[in-house]
Amino acid sequence: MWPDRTDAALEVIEKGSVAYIAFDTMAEMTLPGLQRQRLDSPGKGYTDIRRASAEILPACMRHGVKMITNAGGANPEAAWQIALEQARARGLKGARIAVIVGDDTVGEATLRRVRELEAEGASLAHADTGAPLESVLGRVIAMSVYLGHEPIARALALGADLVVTGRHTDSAMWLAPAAHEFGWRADDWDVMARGIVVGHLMECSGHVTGGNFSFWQDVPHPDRLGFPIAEVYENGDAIITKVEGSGGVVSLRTCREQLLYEIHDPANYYTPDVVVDFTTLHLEEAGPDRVRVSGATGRPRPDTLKACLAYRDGYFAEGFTFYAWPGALAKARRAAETLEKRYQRLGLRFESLQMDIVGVNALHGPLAPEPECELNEVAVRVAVKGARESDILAAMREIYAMDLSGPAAAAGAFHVGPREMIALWPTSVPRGAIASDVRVAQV
Amino acid sequence: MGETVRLVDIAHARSGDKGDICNVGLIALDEQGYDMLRREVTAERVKAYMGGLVEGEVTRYELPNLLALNFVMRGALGGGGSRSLRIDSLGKTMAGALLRMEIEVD
Repeated sequence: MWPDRTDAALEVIEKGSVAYIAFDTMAEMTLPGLQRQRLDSPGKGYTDIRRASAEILPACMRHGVKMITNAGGANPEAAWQIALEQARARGLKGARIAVIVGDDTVGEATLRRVRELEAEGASLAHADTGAPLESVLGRVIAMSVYLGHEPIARALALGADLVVTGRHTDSAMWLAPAAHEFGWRADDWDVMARGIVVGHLMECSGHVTGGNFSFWQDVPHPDRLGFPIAEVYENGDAIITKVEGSGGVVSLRTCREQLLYEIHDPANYYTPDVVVDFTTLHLEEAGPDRVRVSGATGRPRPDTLKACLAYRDGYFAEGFTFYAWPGALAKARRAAETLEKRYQRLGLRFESLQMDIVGVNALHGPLAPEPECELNEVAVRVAVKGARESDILAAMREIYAMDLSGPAAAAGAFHVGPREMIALWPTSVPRGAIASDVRVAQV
Repeated sequence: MGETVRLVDIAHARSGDKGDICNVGLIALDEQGYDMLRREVTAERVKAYMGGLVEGEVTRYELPNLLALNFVMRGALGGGGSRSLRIDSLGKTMAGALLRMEIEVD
């Protein structure tokens, strides 16, 4: 994730006896924002490569740990240049830094690439809804294809100390070093599946060591939560653990929660490298903060790769204003009603409008029960989206006007935006149409 | 009528997003609990319970090896992370929403 804790990563490098460390710095949603940055400024569009190369890489070089990161985001080559600069500035002479260049386009080149892919038989329909790309084509600004482990393994074979990549599948960053070390064949589907399972457990850092965990009350020392370590065996089975003495916990329950994180059909988990069956794997306790994961199976990789297009999707803003006792909730509800009436009166046009009461229903919406006791304070949250930026801004201004013309004692109003929304269009492309390249430079 | 319990008392869960699809991994505390979840927490019941937040269909998958059911909910995040107006556009709190559901136990 980006940003995440540096000290926990350094602890793994310094005390974890690891040979490789990988950093997933991207959520699915990170990409469109990065593509937009690169569109606006050709040298931008990466995530945390500066911190990775300035603060983490020197420790890796001292301890002989190879590092892999997708901090290249939507612009791996620009990130590569920064990593090289940072390595030079820190005197890391001899460090080999690799970049993986895949299928990333922004701006006008994207439309040409879309036409080429269509000519090669890709429909580029929306993966979830089946909608044709035509419906947003005029607004498309970028495309990135999710790559598998092979180019990373190639970079490691070329002696890379740091591999910088972009929109790789997260889990491939952990499969790649194991495949490289053990010489795994890319068509040995069971070991590929086990490598992906390891990656899936590792890719959210603290998620498997007690972060974002249902039993959070029982997690020791969350202020110094240890990051996970995988001890991987030649057959792909592994032990998930953490540095001894670090905070956090590795247990059957932390592993179960993370295995289920963001998967759909567990018997058919699609990755560029293999279709993984999560229902055949086995977890067992192997000591304090040690869990063995074994036996996952895989089937041949798909003929297509996931791609995400980014397209312009209007403007968004959100604003808040706060109310306290007496009558905090009633005041907030009156304010929300009044705002809606104001928007109608002013003739503002939105594609969508959402009013929440923070403290009551801002997260669970209509599923939230009515509060059983009198609340001391709540906030009204207004979120709007629409084609016209001026309407969105006007909606936000009205929030401040509630201080003067709304229910008693509104406090602390603020808003964020308007900003242009860049939406994702997940789709698939034929594997054969996508090429990747590895380049290595020595500091 | 049997006794009822809230899922939060017999299970734990984690949720996340892929576009406008949210999945909730619902994990029993023990094997007996898993049998109960399997019997009571059907896709239909989850759809009915979560319907205020989930527009599309709900599919259930079984993972007895993890004592878990995985619910895949479509049209669940107000358009998905990059388009949604929700604070929780990534569905992190959907697991909690499901854990409030009550089921009948033996």
